[in-house]
Amino acid sequence: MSDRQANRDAPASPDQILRGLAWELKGPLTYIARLAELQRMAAGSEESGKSIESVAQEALTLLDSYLLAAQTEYGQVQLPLEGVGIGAVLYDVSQALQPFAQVSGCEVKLHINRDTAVMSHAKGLRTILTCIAQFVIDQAPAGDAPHVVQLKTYRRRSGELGAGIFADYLNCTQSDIKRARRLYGRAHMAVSLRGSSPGVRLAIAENLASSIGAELAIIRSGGQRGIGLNLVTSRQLSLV
Amino acid sequence: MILVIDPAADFGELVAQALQQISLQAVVATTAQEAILAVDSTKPELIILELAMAEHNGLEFLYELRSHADLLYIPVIIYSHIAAEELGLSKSQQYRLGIAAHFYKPRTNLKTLLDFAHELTNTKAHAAA
Repeated sequence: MSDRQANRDAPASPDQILRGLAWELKGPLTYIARLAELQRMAAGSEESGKSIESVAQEALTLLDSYLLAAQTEYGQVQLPLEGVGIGAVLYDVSQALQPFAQVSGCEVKLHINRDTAVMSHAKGLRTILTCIAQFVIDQAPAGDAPHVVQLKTYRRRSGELGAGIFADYLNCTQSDIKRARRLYGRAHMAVSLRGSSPGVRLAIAENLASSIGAELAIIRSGGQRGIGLNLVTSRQLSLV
Repeated sequence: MILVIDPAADFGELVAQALQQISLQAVVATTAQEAILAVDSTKPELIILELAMAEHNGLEFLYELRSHADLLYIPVIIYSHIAAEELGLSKSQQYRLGIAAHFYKPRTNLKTLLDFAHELTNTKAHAAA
């Protein structure tokens, strides 16, 4: 039997099935998102179909995040190490999340300090911070809208830079992050992810963060609790 | 006329309808073979291409297209589930293949695609005039 034949006949692992499923789902979700947009254009109304488009778009972002985390973990994707401005990454994340935040009754605000350059993986950072922000927005309690979700950079006492997502209502602990890590492990054993959507986002962020040598942590800033991504600052880039 | 090449006929029709909203006429092809025939019969001013196709993929189609001297200058917008970084073409390769833009379908809304298509067809119309 040739190697190719053997590969074809080998049973797919649960993880391969999950990745295949995630890839396949992108097609119908993209169709739903764009169809909703087309109907909005045809109706000439900004609001028509906006929530359908936004929810489908967030599902697409979640699938892409999962695929990036899985591909990075299995060495199928090498994220390039490059100079990254965390402020610019947070700005991109805030712009991408605006529609989802709006339909979830949240208002996204940015607080970016100076000197936010690090040597890291831009795509990985963007994906991790998007997952965390989606998780935080998803936790927003119904009613009393709008809830303010803040995307901030911060300095740890050690001088290292971090970026986090903060909200008054957030009630998340370090053990939730540990639980998210276990959830990712369970996914590899084909345990259903159904019913744990917010946890999945945190699990993907945590897994990807560990792949790029960063870590998630619960952070307090200005009386608010947030989930932060702690990074190592590049001294050379800080001088630029 | 714009040629939309997408293996998902529903999605191709959706893009064609969106183009009609801005008064651009479009035809849809779902395979590379159909696309080559459509290029011959319609001589499109722009091609919108999904790369992920069965049998002959979008890149094979592009190389085939550029092998005909009279089809060298039809601009192509890639609107695909395969992202530019996954494809890994250099800028010069993109230029040689006549790729005017590469949009990642899951993150690019119709408005962005239409704006770009409109700009490209307008530019061509001005150049022709």
